[in-house]
Amino acid sequence: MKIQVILFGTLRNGFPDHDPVHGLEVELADGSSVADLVDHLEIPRTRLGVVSVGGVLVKADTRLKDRDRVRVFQPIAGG
Amino acid sequence: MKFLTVDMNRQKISVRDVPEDYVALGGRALTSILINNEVPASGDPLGPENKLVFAPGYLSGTPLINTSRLSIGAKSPLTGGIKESNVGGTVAADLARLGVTALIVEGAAPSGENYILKIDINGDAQLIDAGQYKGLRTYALVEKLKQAFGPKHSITCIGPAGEYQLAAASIQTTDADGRPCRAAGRGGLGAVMGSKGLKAVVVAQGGKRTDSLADEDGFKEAARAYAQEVRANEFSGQLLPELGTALLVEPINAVGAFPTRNARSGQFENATKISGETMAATIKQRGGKTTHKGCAGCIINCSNEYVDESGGYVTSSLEYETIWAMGGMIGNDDLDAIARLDFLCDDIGLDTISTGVAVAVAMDAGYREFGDGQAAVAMVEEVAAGTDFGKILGNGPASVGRHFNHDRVPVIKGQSMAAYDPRTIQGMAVTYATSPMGGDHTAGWVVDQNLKEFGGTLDRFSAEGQVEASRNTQIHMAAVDSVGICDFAQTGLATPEGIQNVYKMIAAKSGQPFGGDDWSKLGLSVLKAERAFNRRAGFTSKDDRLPKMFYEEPLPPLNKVVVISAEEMDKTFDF
Repeated sequence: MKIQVILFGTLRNGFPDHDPVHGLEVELADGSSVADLVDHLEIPRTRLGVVSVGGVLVKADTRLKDRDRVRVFQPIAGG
Repeated sequence: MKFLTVDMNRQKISVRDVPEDYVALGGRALTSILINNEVPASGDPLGPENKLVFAPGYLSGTPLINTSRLSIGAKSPLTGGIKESNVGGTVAADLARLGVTALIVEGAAPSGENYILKIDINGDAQLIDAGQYKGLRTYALVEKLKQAFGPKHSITCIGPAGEYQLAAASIQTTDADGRPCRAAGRGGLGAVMGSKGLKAVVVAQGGKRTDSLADEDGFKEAARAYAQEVRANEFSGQLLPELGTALLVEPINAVGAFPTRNARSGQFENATKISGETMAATIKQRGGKTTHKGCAGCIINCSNEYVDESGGYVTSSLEYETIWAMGGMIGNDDLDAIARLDFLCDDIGLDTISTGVAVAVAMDAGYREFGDGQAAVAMVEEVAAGTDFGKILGNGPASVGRHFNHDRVPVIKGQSMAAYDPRTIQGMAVTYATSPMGGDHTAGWVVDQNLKEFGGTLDRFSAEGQVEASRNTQIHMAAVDSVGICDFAQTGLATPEGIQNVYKMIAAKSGQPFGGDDWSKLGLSVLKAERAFNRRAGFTSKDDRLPKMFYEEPLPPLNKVVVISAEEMDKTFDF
């Protein structure tokens, strides 16, 4: 299945093809979870904050569907 | 180590050694304790009985990075309580290098008279007639003052809003490039400066009278270790330089805590158009600066220079809270309009947060349409023009609410909340409600502790643990604001070794032992002084509450309300 991923903050720095609006298109096996996507992108857990699908926050074990639009954020600090 | 006191009644300046009670204090500890001791709590904030106190942090001017932080304190015309407003730029380092521990402005010049206070390279001060500068906006004023006195000065000043003595007026100060774009925004202290007849403070740069360090080698060793931590941390070493605080737009919107259209929703559907990522891409494409040094001694460079389509300077620095107040909060997705509004607020001398929220309340009351950025520009221009509506707006959101008889006004103790809705981050409900400053995010920022996804351990929809988290953070921040370390350089003290370095530096400056208990005691002493002042000014526990909209109106799309009870709020200051 194809997943559209938009990375925020400095997460996108490792992905030269990342488009600011459309992000990246990633091909994953059917039934993959959010955790599988994060592993596929090789994003260390320490750099991972919120993940949302279609504007709703999801957990690591949430199953993804074909054409899902996933947004991946970094941890934040400071005010 | 001296106190410089300016008596505006008689235009007399006196200098004395730092009195014993204030030795080893700086920043917010100094301003708040002095105001609690010397300003009548029931007095008129715009009367001669109020005092306006400028104090660099205890570590300002030392070799430690990111310590050019100035605390400005007074009784606030916005809240009616005590106020410390904190600002960067270069002036704190410059005052500290002239050996000025506090600058205290008392009394008021005779009506119609206007002065500039100039402090020269020897630390000697004089008042100069400023009649010719009356009414000037800050950018034009700074240009004229640099022509008159030379470029090597930090300039701290007010614009027309401060001269009109409006309750949302800021005190602006110059950044590392000499632009008056750094704001002590909160609490209306620009109005206090205006009431004294003081238009600007001009401070010579490059002084050599910095306080001596009791253990210089020990200090430098700890300062080096601290700087290494700040550089190595991804947040302060990479994220902030690249995106600035605007990096928060997308994640806070994603968690449904980005107050939109006067906090009628927690998500702005066009947040991506005004996000940090979009801002950085826009600035880069136009040839502006995404990474920019705004403050003396800064190694983070979270500032930026926003430019227009032809590459011309618009403003510095466009930040998260302003993008929210002039963007999502008024339903405006036009980043250029937000940047223009940021510049106008700096130029007229207005707090961007209070002004944006005041515009939002007016729009919510039906005065103009949400989303109309150009209408917001016209409204803010009215403040400078001195129209009746401009004065209503310039007095802040509560003033606008009274004018339109509109009760959806997100203020606490008269001061607006910031860019985190307390219904979906309950910890911020406690900080907004209980901080002696009124609605304030920096007084106790517990956003990270509330978001499990960001490493927090608290349930952001539950009351459990929120009072304790806010209390501890408020105590900690009161200490941080007193030593003068930049909020964003706190990545250097986030680990046990990091905070030890701060204790070592305080001890190495003062020559007295300093540890974790002393840090808590310092923070507590500040909060106790502030709380005591507010009690004498007439505040009760009923003032430690949020407006009813936060308890009664569920916030879409998560449909949460604030669940912290009055009894729990009252436990915040059980110390």
